Amino acid sequence: MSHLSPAEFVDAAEGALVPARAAHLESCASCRQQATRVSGALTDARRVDVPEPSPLFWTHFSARVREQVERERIAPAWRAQSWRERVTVRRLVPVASVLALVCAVIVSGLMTRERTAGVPPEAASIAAAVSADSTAAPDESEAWDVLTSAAAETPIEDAHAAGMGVPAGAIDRAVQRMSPEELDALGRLLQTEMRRSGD
Amino acid sequence: MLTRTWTWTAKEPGCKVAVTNETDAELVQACLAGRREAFDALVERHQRHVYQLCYRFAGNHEDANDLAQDVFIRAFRGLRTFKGQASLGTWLYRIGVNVCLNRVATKSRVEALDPLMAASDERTASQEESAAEALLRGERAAQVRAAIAKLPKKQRATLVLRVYHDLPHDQIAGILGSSVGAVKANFFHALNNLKKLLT
Repeated sequence: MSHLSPAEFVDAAEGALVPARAAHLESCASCRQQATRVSGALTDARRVDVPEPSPLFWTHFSARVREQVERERIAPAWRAQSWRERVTVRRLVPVASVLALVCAVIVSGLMTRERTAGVPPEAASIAAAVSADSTAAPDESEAWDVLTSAAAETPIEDAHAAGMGVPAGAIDRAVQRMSPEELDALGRLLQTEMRRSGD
Repeated sequence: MLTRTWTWTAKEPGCKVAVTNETDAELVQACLAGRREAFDALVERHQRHVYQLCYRFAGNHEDANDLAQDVFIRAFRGLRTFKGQASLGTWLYRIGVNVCLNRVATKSRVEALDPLMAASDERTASQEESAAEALLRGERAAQVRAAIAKLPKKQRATLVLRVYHDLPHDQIAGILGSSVGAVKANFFHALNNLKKLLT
């Protein structure tokens, strides 16, 4: 007959082993040793009590929970919500963030190409520098503020659920395709953001 | 609509029982109907078990208190999602296990693992017991507690729910989202590892 399984050792320690397996346990030294081990650990574990808090603790515990509920002004999940409330606030933020990001990248790319197409190289570099300067102060851009605040308030789970995750290698490919002016502008943006997050 | 008055009588610390014999399901319905005092009743009814569960994970009173409050706040927020398939107690245990496993993993377990600190917290010695016996028992309890704190998450949760809350295996399976077989196997490994850690 086979040795006892882990579940059967648990049953044995709890006095719920079926008679046929109990007979094996009686006759098998190896299983008996293991069963003794498990029972001993169970006995040790059962001896540990939770210290009783002061009676005052119980008196005040529910009051503290009530206060916390009030203080946090929890909007209960069970409050009836219209479809407008459900759709407009939380769920649209990640979608709007993605759309805004995509639009910003496309418009920026098109504008840079239009400015530089058919223009002498010197003029193109000046135009690009102007373009870079205009993006050098993202704090002053309302659109950027809206975008960053929406993204900052979006939980990472929602962002992933909304498809905001970046595929592997996509960033590298995007950076490789950038012009020197675009890279310069990106560098400024990153530095500004790093300074801000360091505050 | 429920029109009963809410009066309470303290049978024992932490276990105030409503004079009205409202079931948990009725109290939940009252909460959903906007009666905040019904939630107070639920807190008072379940606070001891929730606190004890949290203490088993946290190993000290302060963290157990914070965790237990967190459990009830989350329960309040998610009350609408309680479908009543399991008992409210089981549902609270599920929230409690999740809160504890998430939070305790990120916090220092110094107090839980420090035998001297934990031993000083033992207040269960009987008056007949000598100081030396009480100290020895307290130290042993602290060792067991420290060993339990070192168990892998699922093993620890299984052991706590089974040994200290006396939940049946199928209920533990429901709380942990696993099968009864897996719960028994986890319990076996928890006891086995506990023995190893204590020898």
